[in-house]
Amino acid sequence: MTPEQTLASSINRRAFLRNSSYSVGSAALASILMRDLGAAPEWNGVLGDKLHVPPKAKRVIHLCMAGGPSHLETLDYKSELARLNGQAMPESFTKGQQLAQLQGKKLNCLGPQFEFKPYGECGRMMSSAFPQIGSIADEIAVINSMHTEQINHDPAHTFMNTGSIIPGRPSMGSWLLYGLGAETDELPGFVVMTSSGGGQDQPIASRQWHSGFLPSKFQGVQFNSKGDPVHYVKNPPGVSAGDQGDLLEAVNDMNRLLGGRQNDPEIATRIAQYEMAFKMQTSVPGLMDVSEEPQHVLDSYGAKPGDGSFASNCLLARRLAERGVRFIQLYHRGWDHHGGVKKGIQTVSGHVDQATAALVKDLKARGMLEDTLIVWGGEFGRTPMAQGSGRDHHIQAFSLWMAGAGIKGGTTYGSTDELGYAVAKDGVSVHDLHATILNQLGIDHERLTYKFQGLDFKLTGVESAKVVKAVLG
Amino acid sequence: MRCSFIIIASVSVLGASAEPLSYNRDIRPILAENCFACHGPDKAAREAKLRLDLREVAIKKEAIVPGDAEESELVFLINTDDEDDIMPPLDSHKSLTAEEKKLLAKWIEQGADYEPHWAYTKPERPKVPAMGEEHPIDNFVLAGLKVGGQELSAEAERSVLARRLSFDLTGLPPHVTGVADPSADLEGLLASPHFGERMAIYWLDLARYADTAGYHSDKERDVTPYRDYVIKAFNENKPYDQFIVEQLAGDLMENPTTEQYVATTFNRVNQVSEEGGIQDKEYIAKYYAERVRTTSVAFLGATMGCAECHDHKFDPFTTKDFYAMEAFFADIYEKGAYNGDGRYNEGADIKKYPGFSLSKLGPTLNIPEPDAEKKLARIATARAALQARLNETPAGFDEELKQWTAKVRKNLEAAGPVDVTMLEDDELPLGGVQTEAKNVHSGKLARRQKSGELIQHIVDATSKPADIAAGDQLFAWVWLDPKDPPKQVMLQFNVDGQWGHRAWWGEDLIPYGKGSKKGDHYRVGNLPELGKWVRLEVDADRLALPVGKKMGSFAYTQFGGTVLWDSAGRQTNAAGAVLAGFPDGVRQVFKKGMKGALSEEDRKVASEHFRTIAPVFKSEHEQLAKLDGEEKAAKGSMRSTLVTLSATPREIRLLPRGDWTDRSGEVLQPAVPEFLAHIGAVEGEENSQRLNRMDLAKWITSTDNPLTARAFTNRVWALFFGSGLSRDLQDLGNQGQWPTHLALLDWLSVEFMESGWDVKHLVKLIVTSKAYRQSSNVSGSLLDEDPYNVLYARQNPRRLPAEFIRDNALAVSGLLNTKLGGGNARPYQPGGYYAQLNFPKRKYQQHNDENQYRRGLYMHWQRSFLHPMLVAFDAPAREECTASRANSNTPLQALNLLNDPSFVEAARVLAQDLVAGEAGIDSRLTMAFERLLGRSPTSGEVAVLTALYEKQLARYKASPDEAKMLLGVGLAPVPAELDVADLAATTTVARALLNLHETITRY
Repeated sequence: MTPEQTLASSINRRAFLRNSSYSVGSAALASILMRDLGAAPEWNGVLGDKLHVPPKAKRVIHLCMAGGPSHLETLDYKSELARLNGQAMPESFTKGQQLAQLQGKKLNCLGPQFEFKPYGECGRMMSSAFPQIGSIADEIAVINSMHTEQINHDPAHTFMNTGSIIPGRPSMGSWLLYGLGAETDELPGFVVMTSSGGGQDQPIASRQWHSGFLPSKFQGVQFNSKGDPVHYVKNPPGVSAGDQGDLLEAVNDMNRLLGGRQNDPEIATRIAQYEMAFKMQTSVPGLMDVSEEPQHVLDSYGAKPGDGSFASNCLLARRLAERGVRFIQLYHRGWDHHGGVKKGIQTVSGHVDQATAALVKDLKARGMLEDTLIVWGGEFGRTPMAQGSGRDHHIQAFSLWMAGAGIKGGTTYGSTDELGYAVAKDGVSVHDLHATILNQLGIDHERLTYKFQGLDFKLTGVESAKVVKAVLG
Repeated sequence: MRCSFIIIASVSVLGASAEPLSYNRDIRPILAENCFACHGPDKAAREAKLRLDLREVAIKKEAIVPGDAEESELVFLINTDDEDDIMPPLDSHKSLTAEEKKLLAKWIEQGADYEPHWAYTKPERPKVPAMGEEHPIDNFVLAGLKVGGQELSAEAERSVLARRLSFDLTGLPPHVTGVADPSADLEGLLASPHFGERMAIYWLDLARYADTAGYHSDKERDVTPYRDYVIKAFNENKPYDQFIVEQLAGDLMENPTTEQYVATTFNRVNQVSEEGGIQDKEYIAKYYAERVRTTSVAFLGATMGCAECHDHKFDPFTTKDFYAMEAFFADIYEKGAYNGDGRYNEGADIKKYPGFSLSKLGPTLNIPEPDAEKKLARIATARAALQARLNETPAGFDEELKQWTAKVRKNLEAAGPVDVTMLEDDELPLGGVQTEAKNVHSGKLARRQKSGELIQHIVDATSKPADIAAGDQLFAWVWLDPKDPPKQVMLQFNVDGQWGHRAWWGEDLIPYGKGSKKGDHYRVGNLPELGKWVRLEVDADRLALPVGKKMGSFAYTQFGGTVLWDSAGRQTNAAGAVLAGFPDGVRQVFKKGMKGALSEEDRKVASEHFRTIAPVFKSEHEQLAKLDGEEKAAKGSMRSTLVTLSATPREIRLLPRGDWTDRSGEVLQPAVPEFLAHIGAVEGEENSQRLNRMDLAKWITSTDNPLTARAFTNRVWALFFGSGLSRDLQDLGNQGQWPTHLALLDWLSVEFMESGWDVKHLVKLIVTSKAYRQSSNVSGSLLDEDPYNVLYARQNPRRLPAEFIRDNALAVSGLLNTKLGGGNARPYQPGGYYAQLNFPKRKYQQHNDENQYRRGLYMHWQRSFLHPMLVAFDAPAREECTASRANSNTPLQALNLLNDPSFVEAARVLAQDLVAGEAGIDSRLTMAFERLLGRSPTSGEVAVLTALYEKQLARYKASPDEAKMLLGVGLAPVPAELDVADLAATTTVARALLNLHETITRY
């Protein structure tokens, strides 16, 4: 049986059995049933504790480097590209290929703009522009053979987050909440934060954390660094916490009275949701208030409370992880370096390098790295060819890394050709990445499905996807 | 986990297990769920060449031996213990229950009869079961109920019914609809203009209507006239078939009206992109595919989306059907990349479509507001009268003409160089942050442009383009910040849409034109002096700017640093300046010579022009100028909308796996899905003419089309019962739901078509039934027997949609502005909500006038960041066609109702009414309950709210400043005469009332 059916029969076996003599499309049953899922006050996931494989991770922190980080200035070392700097790109690489802004332009090689050096005991060659990430070289597994299907930011992000370019599909975090629920009843289970600096800030649409056809309670909630951290979490002016508590109590009392007269299961749910809302009004400001963090912790991240920086968001990500949030996504919008890739990388490194490494080290020191999966990377890579002093969007190859939760640190997987243009060995698709992430959470990507428009949808789409076992410990 | 789920068994109400099995009802759902993915219509995924969806193939392959289950391979394989052989295979993670296995075997024993899918055969009007009821719906529902020995529930209480009808038919609570007793006055509700608004809320989800472009920068665009068209169509009860035809193909109708063009906005409200660097063809492919998805779901209740990449796995839609459907839209005048790079259809020229213009997002129609239309007519009459007077020749005209001619000649003889400014302050498209007012070269403003790297600002000067003349020099005034100097500055000029005319100073860092030493990348010299206003100058011919061409835009570009940019233009020979503004003919007259009398013909040309400036006509000219101003103002209140115009069709190919770069697929002509091609207008077309959108629309609206009426009827039913007769509102196909009441659905569909697709007739039929008017508050065995109400022996309680929740709060407080149609409304929204938007950066400007209080339907629909209140209550972003909204119950909804200023203000204004109207809390509660819920409060409720009131009253009496803070939320004025503490405490009570589950639910 599918998870939905398991759920269905366990909830109301009596009704199920009685009606089944009329013959039911079990698929039909499941999909109608799930439409009402949004109403459940508590949710422990459609899988509950019946995971498909032993889980390594309890939560995910996705550090989304938005704009398309250049793999050639970060993780993929290409000495041959340095040698060909300024010379024409051999046509054999690019003929008939889809390019973004470079389409139809003269193509010259642009050598890596930074020195690469061996880091860690593993001795992996990494860009000297990110020395702090270099300092955790042995914690991270790098994939140099990522490839994607979408060459513009918006669809590429949509693909990275939902496995599809058609709007209206659930994002990764929503799938996880649907499958596993969250370990908090005071905070949303899927939290998103954004920061900027380092290049043109590409727009990020809220569809990136939308629940699509899944019930909307599974959608990501964006925490704002300025103003109210969650929309409407603050009481109106002139209303104290005590006032609000009295009001909520009255509302719930009234709803209980209604429940006594009116047969409507939504009433009980409504009461539970008002209770959680009230808890959020306290827990969210508490979460955002980092004054209790010692100065040396703030310093290690480079965070200044309330500055909305990536560093502050990394610190908040740790605090969210501690509080049982399932999926935490930090966007840093500073990686779109069409021009001046060198300067851009320097600037963006100033924003993300230290904080990224600090987060990994902090989690490790607290014993949380072993069940927290960290994914660091963007929506695509950048061309080995110059676009002025920068690089254009590139989908044939890019790099990212993962750490924590069963990831084999120090590994480097997959490779590109000598110029970093296309995958040469062990290609990893976005769906493969999704399958790997789900696997670490104990989920077989083939079996976390949801019936919509008559089909069993899953995060990894209809094509076959594989778990990248080589990066697992 | 708490058990608040509903279990729904898709019960066939007339089915009983003793009867012969039905393929559609009993068997096909099992095969579709477990077998068709590999043994169904998709040839790419098919295993063992076996199809179980086709009887003859299944028999030929011996999977099924009719009448003999033992001999059937299918029965063997589903029952085997061999893990390698068992079907469905283990790795499919599908499995059959014992019950399902038995059913399959029994069906084969009974002969394995197949039936065509119910939704793919034309609905016939079934006989109404004789159950002794007057209303056909009730007879059908009762026929289903009798199987389980059930009866309809009692009619709902009058107050409940009034609220139900009022919300269901107008989206508003009873007291604002103008209908005294909604439970008795159906005609009144159906005639209310709010009926159209209510229906539009649903239709706009299907039409994926939104106010922004969607992709990437998600900029605003005007399409509101389409929204108003939808409202009007429902209010005027436009026949549904005509409604479809107008939206898909209004432009192809005979002599289309403005309204019919506006209807075609439907094809143009898809998401489009203006992102730089995107590929035109890639986005065109995206737009076409989306249109097929929307058209199939919105009108047919069919999901063709899967067929973009592979043949549908469960329905007979093929990939070829998908792209052949795309071909119907291939003529739409549009482009893929709206960033300057994209191309419109071959040979498309907006001049061939009088009355239309080309906006940034393609063909556009301006729609005057009704009052503006009258004004414009009056202006036109007045102008005609004035112009008639200009054609007369009053005394003194000839003398003035003579003097003027002499003066022009004299000026031409003395001509020298002169500056013609293209850009002045009031035309600077400056955002607030980029404006410099202290350090300027001329006028009041300069543009401050600062960046770490490349930055560019494009100035649109198309309103007064420069006519490039021989010897012209271009200039721009700049001030380079000595503390933060740029590395490079560049001026770029655009002629005929091409930017290949560039002059630059300083280092060579800007990529545009880099490498060239020609006019597209001309280095003038080093950076000019820092810290003072400098005039950048370059000769036009250095930049290969063609003489005689019009230059319509230019760009201020720099690399790094801070630069102030001010006026720009060209220095031209004064002869040009003297003649500037003259029509070409008049220029020719003066270029001929400077002496002697004008020939008769030249004099005619010159005097024609002189009439427009002659002193003797001073009064007429002043009046004309005034009319110009009035016309501009009237047109300012004009809206526009993107419309569908038909141009040369693009070539449509089948794209293997949906890959737009793969051009190997066959070229396809427009065609309807092959398995349904036998129906409607498309059948037997003898002529070989290419089919068009009108043919598609006629096919969809043919009464032979089995899907169209069923899809709509099913959805209308769901609007009034909370669930469809076939529960999946998206999909009537093989993977949809077997209808709980197929006969009723078919009866209603046929009735709907035979009534002339009369929407109000259908609605009225539904809401006059006893089934609709039943109570939703039942208990006991009915809940046990039918927990999911598939038998409709009661009504379903439903939380109100997002828009209604807002409308209700505004309505009960008296704040609601009931204006119908028009521009968008921008209510309060959290600050910084659009911070993630860019190109350009945006700041939300809330309405500070009566538009603050308009209905949710009119709220600005920003696709990428929909208003948080709409998001919280499940309104879709409308990026795609949506046939049913989720119905969630979340803590974010609670936070919204508690703290969103729109609701806090509504509570306060409601409290003002209560405090002004009634002295004691008891009577205030009675008044409030009557208004909100149409009933009196119970004693328990009075006790809860009175306690809350008294505690709050004491608290606010002690701190009146805090009371004032609470009362200060919102724009609505606070009456000074009311006691502050009393009002604040009553506001808290009103907030509680607006938060009640009952308030946001229709029972």
